[in-house]
Amino acid sequence: MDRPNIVLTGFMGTGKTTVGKKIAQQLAYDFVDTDELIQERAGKTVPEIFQEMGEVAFREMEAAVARELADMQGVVISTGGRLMLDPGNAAALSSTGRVFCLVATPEEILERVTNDPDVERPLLTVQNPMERIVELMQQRQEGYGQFSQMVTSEKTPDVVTKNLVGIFQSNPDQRVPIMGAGKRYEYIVGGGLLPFAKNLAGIAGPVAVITDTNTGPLYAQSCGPVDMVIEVPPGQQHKTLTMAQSICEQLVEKGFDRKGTIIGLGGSVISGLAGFVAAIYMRGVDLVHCPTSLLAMVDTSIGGKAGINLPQGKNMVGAFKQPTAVIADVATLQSLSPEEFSSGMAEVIKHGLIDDPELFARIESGSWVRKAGTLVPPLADLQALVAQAIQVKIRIVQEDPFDQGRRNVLNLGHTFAHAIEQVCEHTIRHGEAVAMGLVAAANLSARLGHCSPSLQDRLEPVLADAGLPNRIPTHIDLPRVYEAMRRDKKAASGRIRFVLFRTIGDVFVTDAVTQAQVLETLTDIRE
Amino acid sequence: MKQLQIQGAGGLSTILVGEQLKNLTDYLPTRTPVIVTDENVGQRYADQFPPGHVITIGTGEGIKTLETISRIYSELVAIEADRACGIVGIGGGIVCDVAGFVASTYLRGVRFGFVASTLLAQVDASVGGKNGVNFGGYKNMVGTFNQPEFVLCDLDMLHSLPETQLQCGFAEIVKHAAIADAGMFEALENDAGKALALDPLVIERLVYDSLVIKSTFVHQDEKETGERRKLNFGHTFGHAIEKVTGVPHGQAVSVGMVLAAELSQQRGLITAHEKDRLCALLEQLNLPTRITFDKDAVLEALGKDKKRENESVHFVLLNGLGRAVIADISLAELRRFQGL
Repeated sequence: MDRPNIVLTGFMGTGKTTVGKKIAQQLAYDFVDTDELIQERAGKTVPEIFQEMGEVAFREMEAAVARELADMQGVVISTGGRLMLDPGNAAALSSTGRVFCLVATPEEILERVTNDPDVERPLLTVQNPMERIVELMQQRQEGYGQFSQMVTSEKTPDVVTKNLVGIFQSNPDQRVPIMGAGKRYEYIVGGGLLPFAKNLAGIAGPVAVITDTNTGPLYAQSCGPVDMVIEVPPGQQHKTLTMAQSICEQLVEKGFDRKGTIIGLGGSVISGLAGFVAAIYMRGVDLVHCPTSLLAMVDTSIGGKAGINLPQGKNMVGAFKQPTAVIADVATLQSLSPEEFSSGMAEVIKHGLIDDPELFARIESGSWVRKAGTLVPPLADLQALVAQAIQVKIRIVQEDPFDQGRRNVLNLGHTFAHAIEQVCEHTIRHGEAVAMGLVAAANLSARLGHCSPSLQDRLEPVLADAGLPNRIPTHIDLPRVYEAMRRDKKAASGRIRFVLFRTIGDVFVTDAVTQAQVLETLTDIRE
Repeated sequence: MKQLQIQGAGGLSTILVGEQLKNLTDYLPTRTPVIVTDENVGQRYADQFPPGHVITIGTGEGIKTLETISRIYSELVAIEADRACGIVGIGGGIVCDVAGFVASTYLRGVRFGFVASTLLAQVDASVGGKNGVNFGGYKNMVGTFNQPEFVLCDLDMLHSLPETQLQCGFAEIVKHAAIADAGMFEALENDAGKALALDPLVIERLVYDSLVIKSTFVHQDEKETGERRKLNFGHTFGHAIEKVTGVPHGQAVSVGMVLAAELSQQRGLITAHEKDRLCALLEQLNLPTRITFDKDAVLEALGKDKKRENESVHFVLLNGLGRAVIADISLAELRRFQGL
């Protein structure tokens, strides 16, 4: 399809019509407002249709219009507030168009609606319209939640238009081919991809979505109709053999067979868990990763590592399971908390440090702190950042699909990080621990004379700007951290392997480090 | 001793037929491997084990669970087994399945090999890279495909096997001959007595020929989508009968092969004479050709077999002795099948 439609949905007053017309103008698309089209054809206003013919008749007219518009292309379609909540309409229109849901706060909606004297809003002719708006928004939350969300709060229509056109036009989905263990698959990154996930991944058979109870309600429906959705509680503590077993039990119960595909929808915990289940269920079924966190996008969804934790350590058990596709919808990053976003940035920074000085410089010169409820950084920038970061990891895992050599460099900062996480019993986020580990690696490298001490000085503000720590908290017992490092699964015959710096973009693996040197570094970078 | 190399997805496996447990150290990647064995084998052969930590599991199909796997993971962590550890499963098919699954998943995979102590494990379970445990009432519901580096088949260990264990092995040997090698079938008809007496030369050749047949099928199809399915001859009914009646695996497969042969005869793929030859050979090897079971329960179990896809069941039929074909048979047709 050369000119896919753009479909705008969302609550009244979010600017569907205003923004839609502007987008159409910019893209030289036609513009259709479904309510206006229906009014024109019926020769009556929407309230008149409701009054004279009833709501059922109106919904039928909407369905007919949806089917008709789905056959066209090059149209910006502003939909009536409830049109896209109907699964049939949503399926029809999303088959030929990219759907965006415009979002605003109830206060802004009320203000915009009251300042727009031209339009009658029958749903709001009540005593307390604010209460009514909140109530209606809650009712529709789930339905709207299935589409890519575009926040319009505190933005002029021109800014919203620019954002949307940016996502839509300047960033066509980027596809990066990956060769993993003799199998080729694609990593596809873009904005608003989830509704197309099944098509993009070429899934034909039954689909089971494995997700967590945070992500599932937000995005499971966006993946379109699937055969089952299995939700697990969120968090590392649930990435266990018991949970894998429970998922397998549910798959068995629902008759999921080896022709099926598992979609792992969520962050890195889900990537690991869904990947492990896909590796062992019936000795292996197809797997598609739909990462929804920055960490999962740039790290865990690439490379085919799947694993679960044992009480004694993270990812102690696992398998290599290559997916058939990775579909990274950067629009989902908007629902991350600032902490989760920072956590992912730790891995992005790590990728730059390992093999891409240009990526590191890009991070250094940009602003990559996500503030709650806003779209900062913009999706287009995020998409470009993710696309650049994944290439580092893809390059490296392709050289070493089974983690037997080169891939060790990806553990930069992780020898420290895993140990810190374990000692603090995972009260510190993985990304935070990685940030501390990166500083430790820089410190240790300089201590051993492998790199300049200025590397640590340059690294610390970059981490801080991304909302990440660069010191180890005082409550962490350092000798225990060392002990945990020695027990790490990557330690071969008791020798701890470190990834150290020569400079930014040039790292190497060594085990020629003494316990005293490690402890000196840990002490040096303690808070 | 005969040696055979099998190329699998996970790498090259070396199979040593007729090699002895006491020479295991010659094949180990590490000097002190972690040994996974069961109570029986451990008790009888521990003095021949190389030095190394021994993890002992119970016996019987019921031990093939994720709980057992979980317990082994804990023990590996407790002894600080790292990626260089190397795991050797010494025992029958269950030990190999469990050890293979653990080795494929612990730390995302460590090097591993087997000493197969039963006839069944020697001819079947340790080749093809399948491993796994049972789950929710279904066999091998979770597992992986991963080739062991080596499989040592010590024929001396066969002498301590109980009758039902030997039957399992012979049923697989007959299966291999029936689906792939008319010459081997005929030789087996002639040497059945010697085979039962565990004549070393006869057994070595039978094990070797079986391995060649199985590895050929596996090699043609690493992921069990086409050719490899032929190795399920007798097993579709066999698994269901085993599940419903609880008879030993070998006996269930033997009966399963007879039923599959009858289906083949019904479709005109083999003659009555060929079917009778199969029955006669099984009887010579002390294997049953008929047992009583609840037909409905078996059909019900068939429908839920993990190889089920939609309504029809993939069946392996004989197309003459020494050749197999795959047919889709609907559950409805099976219900009408008189043999049941």
